[in-house]
Amino acid sequence: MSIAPEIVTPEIVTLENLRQITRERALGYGITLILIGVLEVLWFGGARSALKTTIEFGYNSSSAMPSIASALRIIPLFLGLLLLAPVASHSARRFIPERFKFTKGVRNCFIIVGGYLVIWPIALWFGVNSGGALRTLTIPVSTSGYVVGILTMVAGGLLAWRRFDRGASPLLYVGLIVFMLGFLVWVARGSNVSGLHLQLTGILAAAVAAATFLIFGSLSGTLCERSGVVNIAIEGQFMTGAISSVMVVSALNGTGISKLLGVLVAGILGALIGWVLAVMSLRYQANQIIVGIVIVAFCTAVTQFIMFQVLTTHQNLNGAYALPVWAVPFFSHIPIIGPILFDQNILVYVAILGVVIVNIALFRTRWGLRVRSVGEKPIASETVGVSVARMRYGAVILGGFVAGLGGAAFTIGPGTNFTFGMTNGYGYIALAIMIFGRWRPYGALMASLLFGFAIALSANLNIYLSQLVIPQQFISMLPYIITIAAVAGLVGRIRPPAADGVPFSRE
Amino acid sequence: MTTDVVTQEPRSSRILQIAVRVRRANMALVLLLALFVGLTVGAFMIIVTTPSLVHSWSTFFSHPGATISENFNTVWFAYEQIFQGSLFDFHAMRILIDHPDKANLATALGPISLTLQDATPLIVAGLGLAIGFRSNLFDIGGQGQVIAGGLIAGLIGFSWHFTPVLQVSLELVAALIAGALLASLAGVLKAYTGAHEVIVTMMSNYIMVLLLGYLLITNLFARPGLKDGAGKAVTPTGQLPYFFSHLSPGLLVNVGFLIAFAMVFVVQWFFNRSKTGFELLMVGQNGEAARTAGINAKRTTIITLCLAGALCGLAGMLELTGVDHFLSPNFGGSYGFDAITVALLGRNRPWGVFFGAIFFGAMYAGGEAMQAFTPTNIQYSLAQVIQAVVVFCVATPALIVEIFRLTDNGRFRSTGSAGGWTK
Repeated sequence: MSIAPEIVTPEIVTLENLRQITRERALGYGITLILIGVLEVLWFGGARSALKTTIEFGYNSSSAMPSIASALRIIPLFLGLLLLAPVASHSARRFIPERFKFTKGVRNCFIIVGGYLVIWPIALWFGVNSGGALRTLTIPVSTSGYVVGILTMVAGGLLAWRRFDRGASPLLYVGLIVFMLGFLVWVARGSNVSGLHLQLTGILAAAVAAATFLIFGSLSGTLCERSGVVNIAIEGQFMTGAISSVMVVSALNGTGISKLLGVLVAGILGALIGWVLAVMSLRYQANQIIVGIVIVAFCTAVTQFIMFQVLTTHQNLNGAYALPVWAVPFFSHIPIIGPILFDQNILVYVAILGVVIVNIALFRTRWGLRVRSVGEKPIASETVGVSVARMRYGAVILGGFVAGLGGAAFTIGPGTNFTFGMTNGYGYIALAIMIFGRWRPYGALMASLLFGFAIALSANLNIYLSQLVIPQQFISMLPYIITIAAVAGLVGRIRPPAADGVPFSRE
Repeated sequence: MTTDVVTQEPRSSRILQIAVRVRRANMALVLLLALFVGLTVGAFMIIVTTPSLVHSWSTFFSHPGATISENFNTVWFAYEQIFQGSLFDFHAMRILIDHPDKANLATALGPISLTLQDATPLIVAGLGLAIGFRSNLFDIGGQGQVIAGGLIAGLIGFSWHFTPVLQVSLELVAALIAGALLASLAGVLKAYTGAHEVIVTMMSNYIMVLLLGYLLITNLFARPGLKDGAGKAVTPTGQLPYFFSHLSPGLLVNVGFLIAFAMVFVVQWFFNRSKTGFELLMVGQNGEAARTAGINAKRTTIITLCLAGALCGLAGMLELTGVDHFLSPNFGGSYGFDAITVALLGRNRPWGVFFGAIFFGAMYAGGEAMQAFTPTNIQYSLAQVIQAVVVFCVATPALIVEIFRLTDNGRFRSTGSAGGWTK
């Protein structure tokens, strides 16, 4: 007769275990995609067959791809396909010499250069490049709903059947974005008659602008939580960064150097708040969520006070100065995606670069390994001589800096005044994005673009109010509802860093 | 023999003994010092943001006395306004004693009645959130739950003309249920999918604000003929009666305060005497041990969040039927968020929450008085800065202990796990 208590083995992540999780996730994503496809067929496909939508690809007229003679266009197309072939297929990779290291970085270069070389002649053939004039495209609503819906269903079915790991999440993101595009087309139905054309480029550019601060916020969350500290204070760091950058730039009359200074001050104040969070949660071991909530309350009060006490009487301190816009050579000329992705203010590039840098720092450097180990099993790290407190301080302060930059992306990024309440809970949404992106920088980037699109969508539907069956307010709820769905894990099981939010003391 | 000498307390003077005793940290001392820190930060904010005061520092080395007195006076006037606007105006008190009539009664006791009126929803909502915090569940959806309670209470309030007792009780029950239902969303998601309640409740705030904005333009809620977004007015039978309106119309305390006061006892009873309350505290202190003892953690999570939401809904009903009497797009204001800080300020104890809410109510009333006082011209938000600093210090008492070199034997070293997102 055994009286020994039942031994509960702790959940150990093995390779088999991990594979199980990814397979489950792929199935979940596939089913989600199938449901989305059904919804698209029923909803958008159900529109009256005569209705059509005119989409407007308006972009900056100064940007046009370099023109080449019709006969020569085959050359870049061929070269581009040659570059893309080893990326796409294993058999093509055999033709690459042994000595040539086909690393991830080289692969990405191939994708970028080859993609451009392929798009270039195609854009010229289709004539979308003609002097940058506004191009329009009229498509029938019902048919496009059917096409998109069936394609989504097929993609979801494949994913659910084969359960492949690679490309499962990008497929879901693409599916969700296509769903929202379909929704836009449905909302703007009949615009070929009414003239209220669907300004796709504008909406997508707004999506990237909204994604910028979300990228910064979710990167900050990723950095902090990978080290084991929950940073609820991102909202406060956003607010502080937003107001301080505007005040610095306006006080110095928006000169070039003042803009750099404004961004830096936003980052440094964010880092300061991160430091306060770190001291409270590491030195005094206070509950990290309580500290975060109180920090947000404090930041809200102080920004509100400065807003009403100082900025209402000194309106010159709240000017609208925008960071310089840099059009990336060649790439900004690509129709549709060029002006959206490659003709933006500096902070957008900083955000994308930040994703790459944080990814390398977390997963390719010694520092990153230590940060992750401190977030997973602090006692083990301490045993081998890694100071848990020091690693966490570093990560939280760096995270604060990044979130502060996100604050600058609210105001001096697009060049708007500071208004109280402009952060609008995006700091919390950034945390949900971090979860949605599974504590990975690239995941955060993709999820930020998705949420940014949802935010831009809800903000840009005013001209179609008569078309909407759903009231405007319900559309505005969209980002928040998606957030709840995301954290509720409707898209698969997720595993946070094991020591996330758990205070550590040596004793 | 030598060990005895070592362990013996060194002889010290009487004054030193008192000093040692004073330095020993206790909650009252921490609160007092927190208030001191809050007021100091507030004074700093006033000085930095008032141009004339900033300017006065340029003559600091030539006329230090003038600079200091100018700065001190401005800060003093501002804080005097907060005090007079929230508690007593001694001048008005003396007039009342000399000439006791209705008008003087209102000016003398008006401020304190305003404080109590502002504190009423905060007491109830703060109690609700304290229930969650005691169980380590951070319901920060107070705003949304307040709106939910207010919406339902308003719907019942303007739709019918029952007898006052019946209508008010109907509103009360409906508001409790509405708040509980909204919070139960977070509870169910937390229990069954592991979604962290902070994000779910936060998002529900924004959703409820948008829903309120939508409902206020529908025919059901909007006041006919009025396009400023105001809702229909609650019928007189649905309003909470004032206590002292027969004495003077300026005295604003209504029955809601009595309900809030009763709730303090109810929550006290809940924590100290009820089985559910015990289970909830146990889960909050050590979830693992609670589960081993056979407590159903999922059930407790849902019940806790429902209770928290119910009390927030009640706060919305008290605010609507007792003070506002009609819905507006920014109904509820910052009550939902301030309730979080009130619960932290009161260290999640029922009476602590009660007095914390009265402190906040006083800061509301006093802050408005300060803003109305033109010579200093300081915005109302200063009161919120002071509140935030005080709460910060009370939430992490170790900071105060460190700053003021108090002695403590680890009592105020708050430890606690925030937990991950999906546990």
